[in-house]
Amino acid sequence: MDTVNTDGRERLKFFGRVTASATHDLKNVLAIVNENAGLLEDLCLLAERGQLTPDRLTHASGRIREQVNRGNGIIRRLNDFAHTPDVDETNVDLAEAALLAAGLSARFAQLRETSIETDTASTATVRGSKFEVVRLACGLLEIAADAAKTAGPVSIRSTAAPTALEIAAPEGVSFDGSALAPLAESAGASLDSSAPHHVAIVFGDA
Amino acid sequence: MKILLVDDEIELISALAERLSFRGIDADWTDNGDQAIELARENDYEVAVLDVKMPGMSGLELREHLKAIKPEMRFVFLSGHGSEQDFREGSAKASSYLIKPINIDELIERVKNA
Repeated sequence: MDTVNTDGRERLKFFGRVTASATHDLKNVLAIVNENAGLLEDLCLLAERGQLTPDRLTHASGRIREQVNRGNGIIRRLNDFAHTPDVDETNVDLAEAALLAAGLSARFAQLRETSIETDTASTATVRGSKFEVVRLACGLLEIAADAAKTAGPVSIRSTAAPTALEIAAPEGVSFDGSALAPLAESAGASLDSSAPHHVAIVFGDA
Repeated sequence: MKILLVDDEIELISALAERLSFRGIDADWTDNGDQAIELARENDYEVAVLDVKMPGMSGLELREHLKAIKPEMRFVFLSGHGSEQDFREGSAKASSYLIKPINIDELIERVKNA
């Protein structure tokens, strides 16, 4: 019973972390839109006095448009993530899971002065819980980002042979994902570390 | 009045600096703590407006560095959420604390009264 409660609590905590990060990002989007809308108002006052060149208006409105796109991306990822527990077992496209995990972990990485690169040219589909696959990938990305810091970007790559998600820190940086081995097992996978800066989530036959 | 703005969101801080300039406040800005420290060494800022949560050095850590350089400098903090922890840590020593998105008139009032 305690194990079930602990596991449920860990899942909730992960949901909380993802939501807190996304809403913090959205606050920044709104703050930028707010400031640039205010700037447009200021510039309109200048225009009334004939002291304005049109490029300043274009620049401010372009910033607003960029932030609308940024906000749309955050909400889309959050919505994708919110639907991951809808079914316990489904076909999980590893490329989609990698992109979602990278997007959800981007702010965590940014706060550690690193970034996340994705390579989804090769992919495979596995049968399982998308929520658990994404949770596992995010967990490893966070450990890798914690270790990498300013050494360079971390990466996540989907591969078809083996059927896996590979998470890597820059060479010379080591990280240990073994604490997430039980989570990998519950997601129908195992963790394989062929080098100190590299951990692969290897899935069984699709 | 000369102030320093520090936030890792460049599009936010640059627009804010421009708006403050229209209102007679000379605001330098940067998106990171290290450059903020350099700017503080080279300039005399009355007030620093700092984002609480930034990559690398947090706003609260930055405040300690800036106070060591310019003990008379006063501070206003910006936060995305205003979590209880942020508020507790930030408001204990800060002159003021604002939640994003901010109202520029309120910011100016806080800066002037900091």
